[in-house]
Amino acid sequence: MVCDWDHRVFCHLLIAWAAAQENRLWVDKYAPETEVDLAVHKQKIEDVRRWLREAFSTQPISKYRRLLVLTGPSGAGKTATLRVLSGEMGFSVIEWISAQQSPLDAYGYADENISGDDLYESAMDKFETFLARAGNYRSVFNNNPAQSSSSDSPTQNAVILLEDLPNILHEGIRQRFHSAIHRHVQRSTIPVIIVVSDAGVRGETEEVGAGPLRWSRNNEVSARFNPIAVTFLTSALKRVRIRAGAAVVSDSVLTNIVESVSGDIRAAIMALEFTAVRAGAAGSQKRGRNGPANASLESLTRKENALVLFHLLGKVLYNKRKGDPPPNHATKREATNLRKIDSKLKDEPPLQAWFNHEARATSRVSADELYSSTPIDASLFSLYIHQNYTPFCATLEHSDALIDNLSWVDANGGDNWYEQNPYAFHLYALGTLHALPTPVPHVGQKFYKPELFDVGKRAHEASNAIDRVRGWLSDRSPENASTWTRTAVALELGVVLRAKDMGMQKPPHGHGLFSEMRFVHGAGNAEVAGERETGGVPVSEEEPKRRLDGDDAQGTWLEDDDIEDW
Amino acid sequence: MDNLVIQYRPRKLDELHYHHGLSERLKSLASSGDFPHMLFYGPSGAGKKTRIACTLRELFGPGVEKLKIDQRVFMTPSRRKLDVNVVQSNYHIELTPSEVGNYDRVVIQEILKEIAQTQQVDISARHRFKVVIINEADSLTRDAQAALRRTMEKYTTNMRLILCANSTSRLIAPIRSRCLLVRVPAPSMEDVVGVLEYVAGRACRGNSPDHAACTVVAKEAAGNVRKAILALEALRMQNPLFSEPITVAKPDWETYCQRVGDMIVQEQSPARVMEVRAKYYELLSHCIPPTVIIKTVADRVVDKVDENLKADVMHWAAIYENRMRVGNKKIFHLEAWTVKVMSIVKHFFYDIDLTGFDDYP
Amino acid sequence: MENFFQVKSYGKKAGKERAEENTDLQPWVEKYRPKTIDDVSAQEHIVAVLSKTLSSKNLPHMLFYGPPGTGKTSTILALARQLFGPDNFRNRVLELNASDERGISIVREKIKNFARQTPRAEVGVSSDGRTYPCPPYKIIILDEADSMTQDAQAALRRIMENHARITRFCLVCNYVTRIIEPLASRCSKFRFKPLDPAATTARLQHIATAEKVAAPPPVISALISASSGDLRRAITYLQSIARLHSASSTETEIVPEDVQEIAGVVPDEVVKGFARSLGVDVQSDDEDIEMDGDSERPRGFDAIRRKVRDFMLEGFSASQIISQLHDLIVLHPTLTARQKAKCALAMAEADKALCDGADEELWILEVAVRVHRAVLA
Repeated sequence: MVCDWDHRVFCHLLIAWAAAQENRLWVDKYAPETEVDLAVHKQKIEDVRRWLREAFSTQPISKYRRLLVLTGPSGAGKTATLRVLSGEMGFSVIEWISAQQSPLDAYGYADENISGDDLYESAMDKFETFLARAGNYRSVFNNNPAQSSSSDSPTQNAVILLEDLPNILHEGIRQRFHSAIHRHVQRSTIPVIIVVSDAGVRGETEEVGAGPLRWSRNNEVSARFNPIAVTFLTSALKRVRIRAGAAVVSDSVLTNIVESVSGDIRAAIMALEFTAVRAGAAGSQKRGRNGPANASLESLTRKENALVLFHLLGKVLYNKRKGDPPPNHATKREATNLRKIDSKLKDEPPLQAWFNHEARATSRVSADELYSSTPIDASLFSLYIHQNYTPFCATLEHSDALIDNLSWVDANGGDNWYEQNPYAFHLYALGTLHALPTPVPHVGQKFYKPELFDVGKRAHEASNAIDRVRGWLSDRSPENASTWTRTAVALELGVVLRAKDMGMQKPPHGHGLFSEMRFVHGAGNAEVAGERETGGVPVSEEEPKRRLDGDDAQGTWLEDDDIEDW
Repeated sequence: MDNLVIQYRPRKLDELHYHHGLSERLKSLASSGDFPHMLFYGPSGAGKKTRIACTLRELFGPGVEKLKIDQRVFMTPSRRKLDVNVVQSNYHIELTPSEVGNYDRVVIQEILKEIAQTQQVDISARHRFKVVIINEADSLTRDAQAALRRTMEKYTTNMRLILCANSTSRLIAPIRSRCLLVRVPAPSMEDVVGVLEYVAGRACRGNSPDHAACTVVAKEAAGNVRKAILALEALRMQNPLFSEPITVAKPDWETYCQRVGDMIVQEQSPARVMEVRAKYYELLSHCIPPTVIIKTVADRVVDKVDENLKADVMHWAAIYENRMRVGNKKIFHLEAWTVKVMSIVKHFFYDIDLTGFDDYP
Repeated sequence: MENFFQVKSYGKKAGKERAEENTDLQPWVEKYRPKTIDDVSAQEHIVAVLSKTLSSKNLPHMLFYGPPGTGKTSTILALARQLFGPDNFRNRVLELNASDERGISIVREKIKNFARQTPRAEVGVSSDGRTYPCPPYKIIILDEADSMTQDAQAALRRIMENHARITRFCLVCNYVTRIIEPLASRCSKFRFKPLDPAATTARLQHIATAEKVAAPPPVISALISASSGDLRRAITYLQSIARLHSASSTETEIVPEDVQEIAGVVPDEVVKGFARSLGVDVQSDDEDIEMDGDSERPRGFDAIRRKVRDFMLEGFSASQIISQLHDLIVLHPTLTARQKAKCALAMAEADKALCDGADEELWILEVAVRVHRAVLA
């Protein structure tokens, strides 16, 4: 029986391997092998290399080089960097792959009445064993044929790579995970490298990865990888194109790919492969037809991507209506195009005389289209509008109508999913369009990311500070605990806390988070999220876009959890 | 020597400084042996909790003052863990379920069930029931209130409830009608001065503030004794001799809100809207409740604008505060109010004959 | 120890005896529940119909509706007691009265299980020496049926059909419109009208006498107005007052103000003073007393704001103030209908806002200002 099973698995693996050699995805097939191929910033590579060198050195500093955390969006080249360096510096990578084990686990247990916890527990057991073994008997793992040439030397270095983390959302698991890592770092000399990928705009990152991954005592160093810059990405894609012999893909398609993936090299190569295959299939036809390729590209690389968002915001906030004059810099063709579009728009039926002040020309923006093409939900959409509307309003009355609409929609629809207003997005969009002047004067408006997330984070910290103060109070007398509710501390205690700071008795550190406010004139500190001149073609600027991505990630996370609290 | 609020708090009903009639009633109620569920309500800082503590002492003797803090862990239906601090003695338990937000029902149900099903262990206890104090009862969710109502009917033998709330408006009628209502109004100015003089006399022997100084502090506190004592404490630390002039320190947020009000009155433009928004964000990130923000800013604006505009300013404050309660994104409503006020003020200056002032919906 | 086993006063015999031992601690609402349907206050028409069912032994499904405290639950309990007697009451009557205990699962499990059981035939003389008709069906009482979910009501409909032979349902609710039509149409509907003051007075006086509480007529009428016709609330208030006064060391008489304090009602003079400061022309009961010496005509917004702030410091509940102000204005002899309508509109909005949890001070101020404008206009 056992033999039989083994045999089957062996056959299966053999077949899979053979198929893989033939038919591997380009992402794997053309994975970078030298530093030159890596699209990652040189500085970043150097950072990691230096860390590794220190970790393998015999100097005392190696003690502090036991744990490295690489973070960054997916496809930023985190793992690839490590692999390239492994080849270059000649160390082996001992990898924890939970994915290989989980299918067996799943088949074994999933349909039984074993709770999820038990399943994770067993995965956790495996993980602990893996770590312990990897720390002690590394040579056992060192049988990778690709590495065999260099692994002959007895001084072979190794790192443990953790990419597929066990599910550490669960408190108990997380603790075990942390202590396992901690134990390992204490005992073993083999450095551990943890790779954590952020998710996209929706960003569960904080929850899944980095959040629970905060170590305090371990000598952990973390390096953050940014999305790959356009120039790097383009040259990397071109290299792949040459190596794959996919000349059918034109430069303009390449540019399109680069634009649409927001720095995710894996997605870019996938898209390239896909386009090449399609183009190859339709090879006999005319080359360089961008249209259909573009359409499919978008669906292929659809991340909740900042550019789409910009486009959307621009459409809403510039509020183009039928009969608006074309922008100054528009070419003749564009102008005629606009007229053509306008002629297709139906005029709104006339309003009663007493309601005439609400009459508007037909909008060139269709709320339905917006809704179907938007990468974000109504709530986030409203936050973006709120953050950015003021420069688009010519007068206070425009602002009034606009913000009143936001307020009204927000107040109509409940917190729970089943109470949510299904038309919220449309209401936000239409109300905003209705309130804005037309045409909106172009005065070099910029787009900002919503500050609210940052505010939510700070409020959270302040609320923790309040709890610390309450804890401090009730340590002195339990009676305090009942007297000082959160609100009372936040609103009333500040006076005394400040006075105490000046005196001898020190209240807990950090009460200033809620008790101290200095009034300074001036506007907010919103970061520029990106800018462009017109409502037309989006300008792709790498830096701002990345920032937007990153901040959204924490933003959405906060929104689910915190914003509704206040 | 810290925290005068706790240190010189009256421990017995007889020691209370004001509302003597009320103390008398509580005293007789506590001694009657037939103690009902009670609901204490009144503005914050009027002394509800002090009265509750005194009543408990009257009921059970000095044993109730042996307090300990317990951290309890509750599981929500979605298996999220809730940590709740409960203060308790052998005779009572005190909780603030509203601190866990929407999960307050879980806490109410678990704790009350537990209390109701355990007997008083202490044989020498004067009463066989335990008292459960529920703070901020008016911010309980409807669900939690319904659960509370059920337990009030079900477990009357082993448990009495004392609810503490700022107002009865938000409590469902069945709860109100099952409790003995005890209104604790804010003390008068003279009462507050009396309390301050008592506390100061004990705390700052030698150079305690004179009557005039106490009056200044009391006036600033507007009926909130806790606030008054805190102000006294801060004053003592900054000005130990209580020499003239007496300036009562205000919390930063209060001054900040007033400055925001000034900003609104000074200039009305989309750019100013942005500036004011930044201020609101600052306030919100300091955990100042949005209702407090809108009320404080509105108070300032009302003081500064023309008589004809005052009612409108407050009208919109009421409208948007209401929306704030219903909605999620507090900043929208704060800002909508701000813009509305700005536009009212602006029109008043540029367009005096703005008609239709009186017939808003 | 006996307290531990205390149960509701009706039903269980063992419980009843114990309950009688400490009737002091028993809510008067339970203690003075009508024992027979003839004791039910002021619902003569319904009583007449129901007494017939007593002799005929047959009973339709019933739907009782009407404002709270008009005797709906009391009536069905009394009827059930008269039908089954103390011995069989427990196994023949199921009462479910909690709003949160009646999801669809409860309907499926508890009600269905009870409805399914075939009642044992019980005839002969009961333990208290009387004979009860004890008809061959069980009664399921669903109190506050209007708070059941639609699903649960639909499930109920099926159970009603399937077990009609051996089970009668009595739905009790405040709002008949919240009962789904198929369910309502299967029941005989009984509308309980609001109690008239005479009947309430009689009942309260009866209880006061029985409990030896000195309650002069002004106190009784204060009780009735504070409880707005809800007899249960009135009795609860009466008990609270009696409790406070029997406990107090100094012998004082009960006065109407005590009632208002217990009930959380704002004293009349305070409300009148408030109305007066808003420009409403109110005659004081006691001409000499002017609230806060604030007798002059209002001096604009700031005066109103100050007044409202004082109100908040007094701790009165906003909804209570507004509802009392509403009564005062709507019944006001000289204000025009248009003025009253404007005021009522403002109060309606305020009530909605307060239900949503809006800030009390802001909304009292809002009402105050709008009343002020309406009255001066």
